[in-house]
Amino acid sequence: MTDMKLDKSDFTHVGKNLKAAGEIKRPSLSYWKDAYRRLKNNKVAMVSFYVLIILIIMSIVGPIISKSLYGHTYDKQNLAEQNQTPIMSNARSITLISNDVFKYGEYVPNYRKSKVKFKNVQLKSAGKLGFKIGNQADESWQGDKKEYQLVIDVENTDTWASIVDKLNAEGEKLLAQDPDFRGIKFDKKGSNLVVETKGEKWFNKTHWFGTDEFGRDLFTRLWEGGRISFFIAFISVFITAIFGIIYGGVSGYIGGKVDDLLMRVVEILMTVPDMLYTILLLTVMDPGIKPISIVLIVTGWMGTARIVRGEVMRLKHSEYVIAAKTLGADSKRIILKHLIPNTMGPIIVDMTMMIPKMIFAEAFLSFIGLGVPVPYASWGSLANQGAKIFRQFPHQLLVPAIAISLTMFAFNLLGDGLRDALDPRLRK
Amino acid sequence: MLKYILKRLLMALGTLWVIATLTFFLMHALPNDPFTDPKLKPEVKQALRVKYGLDKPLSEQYIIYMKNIAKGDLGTSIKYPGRSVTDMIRQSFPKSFALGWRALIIAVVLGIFLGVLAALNHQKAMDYLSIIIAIIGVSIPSIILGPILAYFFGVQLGWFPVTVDKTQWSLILPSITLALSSLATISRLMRTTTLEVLGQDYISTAKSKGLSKYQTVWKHVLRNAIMPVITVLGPLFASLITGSIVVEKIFAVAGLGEYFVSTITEQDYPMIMGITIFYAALIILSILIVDIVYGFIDPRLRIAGKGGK
Repeated sequence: MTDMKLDKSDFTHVGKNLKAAGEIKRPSLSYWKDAYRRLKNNKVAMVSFYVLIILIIMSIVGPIISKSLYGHTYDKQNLAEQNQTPIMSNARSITLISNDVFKYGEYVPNYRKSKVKFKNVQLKSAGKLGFKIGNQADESWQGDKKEYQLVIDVENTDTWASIVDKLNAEGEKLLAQDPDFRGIKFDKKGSNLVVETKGEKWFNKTHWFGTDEFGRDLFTRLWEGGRISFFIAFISVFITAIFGIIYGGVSGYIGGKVDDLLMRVVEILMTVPDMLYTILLLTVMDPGIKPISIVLIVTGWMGTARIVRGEVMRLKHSEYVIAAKTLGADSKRIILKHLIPNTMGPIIVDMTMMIPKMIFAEAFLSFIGLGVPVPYASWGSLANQGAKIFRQFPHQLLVPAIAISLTMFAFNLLGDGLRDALDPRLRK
Repeated sequence: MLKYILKRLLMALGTLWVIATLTFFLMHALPNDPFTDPKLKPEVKQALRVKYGLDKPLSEQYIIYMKNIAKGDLGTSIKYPGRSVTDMIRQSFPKSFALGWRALIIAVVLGIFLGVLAALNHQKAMDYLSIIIAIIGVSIPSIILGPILAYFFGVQLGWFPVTVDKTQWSLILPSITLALSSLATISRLMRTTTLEVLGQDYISTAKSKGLSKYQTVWKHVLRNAIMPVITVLGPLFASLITGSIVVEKIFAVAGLGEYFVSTITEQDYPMIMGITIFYAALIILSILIVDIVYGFIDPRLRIAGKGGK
């Protein structure tokens, strides 16, 4: 440590500045402004918020766009345009029709069978080896219902290299006869035989997300489904919240025996497994948007009621409410001015977290066949349909799957952000 | 303690009674009875009604039904005459159970492990990985995860069979599908509670005593942080059961869940009723067991129980 000489003359007396001490440097922020400020700083939550806004806007305008551009509606069937993919290709499908030549361990086609792989192939004997290229029934959407046969004779002296050469030569010959054949390529990679047909790829201009098994436009159906899914989620969460606030508020504010009774009812209802009840209630009602919403409300309000009751109980005994009471405020004023605004934070977080649960519940119900009736589309019923033919046409599941997952992600992340923003205890 | 267990037991029985009653009246509030086939002659319909006791007054039917439930008889199928609900459960539930306990173990073990690992590496790569898994777990429903897993690992890579057969191997994909959302819940909860415990004074004490990191975590952190996880095991079990309904359908497990879905589409009401009550009883029983176990483990509850408030 070095010695430091401090002299009295080094210091000057600045005096008191009473004006500055009394000044409020930061503008006073209300609870909501403060919460908004903190939410705005949370990038993840804000991105989620904008994603949700986009999804909701698209659900509103999406069906209108595709109707005005191409005249698609969610229920218009067009059997000539079945199962189109978002990126179209006119590569033809490959089917093995006669094979005396080789054994294989496994057969792995891609979803349109335009590229097939025979794993662990082994030469067996001489004979015929034939493929069918194209399929009249399967490829109607391509516009030409053509089918080709590619057959070669394999002799005992042939090796894999010569067989592949023969197959490729036969392919060239077919192409020379008819340019519509578009070409085929055989290849032996390691112990696998890979066959691939050639074709062009282009973006599906009239059906942006492809079509389903009835040729209905998936873009339109997705956003139409978004309307239904969001509608069910929002309306049930909204009514759930109102009912929960009233029930929990009454229970918490009155307290005593009433509270005991009301909360015992909630406790018993909460031990009833809600999904089972949802299923049971829906088997009794006719399927539709209204019954699903009602059932979700009936089985969902208890959580909110509990949260509100807890908050009201806590606030009831807080200093400022007691102060307001002493100053002569009546119940109405205390409830409207003090209790409700101060319980809004946890309620909003609860509502945000409940929306994805409702969307999930709706999807679950559609999946087990209790969802909205055909031809209506909800995200759940789209996913259910897509899951059935996922192996042939993955896009039919992936399109609603991405929408559902994105919505769930966004609501969960936004809910986390809101909780951080609305809880003053987390203030740094 | 005994009083606590008795109280819990009574409440569980009460809930079960409420559920059975609700189920009964819901099913009888239906506008049409199960024999709606227009080809059936009126006399045949009447005979069927007599056979299934549907001609008696509602109050009498209710008493009979309750008596039967108390005896463990959950009724007989209408679509498949002669098949009782109890038989059906006995036949198909083991398959669901085989799936369920695997999923439960995956969810609990991996969830706790991930959560603790994340908390110990707070705001490092491991932490973010566990957060990402947790968010994926709550954001991707099993109706989507199942088919996608089946496609990539079953069809494309060929590592696992797509449907469940007798081999252990085939149960892996459905178990993972079923476990993921519970795994996410547990790891998230475990992370929060571990972080909380890590900030406690007694952890600093343990460290200053000279305990190694491993000893601190094993003896002090884990034991305290695991308590809240035990409380969610009951509801978790419930979500596994309802989740298995979907997963069984996706992977064609032929368990009770898949059967339940088919009874719903076939509108086989006694079956729906019976299976619902069975499921409800299972869930209530598991919550009851978790509660009692928790009462034994948590010293605070144990003392409160002895104090006999």
